[in-house]
Amino acid sequence: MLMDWPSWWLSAQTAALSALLAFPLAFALGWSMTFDRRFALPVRLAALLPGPVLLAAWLTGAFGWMLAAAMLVSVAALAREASIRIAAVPAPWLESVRTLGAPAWRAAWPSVRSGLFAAAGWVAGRVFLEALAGLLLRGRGQ
Amino acid sequence: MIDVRIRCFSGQSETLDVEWKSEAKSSLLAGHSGAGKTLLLRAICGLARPDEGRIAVAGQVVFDGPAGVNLPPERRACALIPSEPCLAAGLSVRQHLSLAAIEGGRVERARQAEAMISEADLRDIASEDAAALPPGLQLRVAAARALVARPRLLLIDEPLRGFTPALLGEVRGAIDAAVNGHGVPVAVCARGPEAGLDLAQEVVLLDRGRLARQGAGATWLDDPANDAVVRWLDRHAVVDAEILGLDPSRRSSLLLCQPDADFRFEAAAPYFPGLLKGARIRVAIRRDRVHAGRGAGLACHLEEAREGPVSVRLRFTNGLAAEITRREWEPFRHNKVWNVEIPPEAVRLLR
Repeated sequence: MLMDWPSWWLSAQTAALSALLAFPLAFALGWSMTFDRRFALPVRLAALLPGPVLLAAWLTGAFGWMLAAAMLVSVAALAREASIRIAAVPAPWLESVRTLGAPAWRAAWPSVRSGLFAAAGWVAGRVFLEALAGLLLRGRGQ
Repeated sequence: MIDVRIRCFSGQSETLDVEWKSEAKSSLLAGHSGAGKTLLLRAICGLARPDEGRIAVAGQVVFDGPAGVNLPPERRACALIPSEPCLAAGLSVRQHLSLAAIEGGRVERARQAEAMISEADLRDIASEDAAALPPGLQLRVAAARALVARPRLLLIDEPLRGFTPALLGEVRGAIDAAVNGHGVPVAVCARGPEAGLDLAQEVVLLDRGRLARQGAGATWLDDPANDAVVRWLDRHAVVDAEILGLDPSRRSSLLLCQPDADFRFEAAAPYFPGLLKGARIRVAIRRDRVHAGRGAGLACHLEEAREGPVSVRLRFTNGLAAEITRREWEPFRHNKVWNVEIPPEAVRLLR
């Protein structure tokens, strides 16, 4: 069962694609979570979404659902990391760069970049293992 | 260039009520802690929102309360160098300058950064971690970074620990580069007068959230004009007085100082136009112009002597004060009674 190459390949694709697609979304979401309280409720509601999507992915075994579930998980995890890191950016630094005319996200980006890449790697690894485990278990169950 | 008329409240109390118009190329925003300097800077660059008023910089309205205009900081082009370190750890000087270059593509931005590195004499440290540099160089990098962004106004807040001589040198360099090199007006914040009354074209003194005086600072020591300037400069004794006589032909007057106290004394002063004999006034007497020693003069009892590295400040029981050199102090340091002479030119009217 461990040599089930299609499961490995599908899990790797899911992990890579979800990390890649979730990254900019998560940064934007993390930004709004940090600085804009208006998004608090939508973010909380969105956090409930992975449940049914994961269930659909499990029931159908379709790549589309797997990717959607992985995206949701990745965005949530990365957005949390992003908001923590953005909040840790020293305010004087961020404020002074904003007054230079640089967009605020561009000011914060150099300080959060490396941490976010590491977090993306960790999330991709987690999605890969979860997808692989799900596929192998599902295959074994059937 | 700057036209500010704003009010800020904190709860029920007013924290800032300032009307400041200036065409000067460089301004020193002065005042003790809590005077409202930093709040004013932050309101101008958009990091603080005034409750009322209007702010225009270089002809553009950036805030207008009644009209609902409130441009975000990135659209005001008022570059701020804050009081706390504003350079990110882990980014080189070159990266900082590239980040601030906002016009053109990547190549053009890199070119602008390199040009500024040469202009600000930062070539030797261009690859070093900017946040690890000494404070003076950090200020130079922050100023260069601000100028790369081509602002309409450069605002420099005083470091939390104040201006050291090295930092002041960098501030003078930044003002020169901004004003003469780029045509950008500069406003610098400073708590005390140590920054130098000649640091900028004009000094704008804030006192308890209000503008106390604005103008060329070079004359302030000789003519402090009001209590706020006297408090800020901390170089004068303030004395109540009654005009005993006025002589317009000799441009002089005679005052009875501390008229309601037991230790009243007479002093010659310049002529005060518009005032009549018998008028009650307040005068500021410049400490370092007062002669204190064993010679002729008014006998004054010493209340306190504060020794500094170069000079000694003497405070007498009748409210007078003098500042003498340590060399003048040493022979008479045990004296309880000093003879004090007040030259008329040391006396100035407070309004």
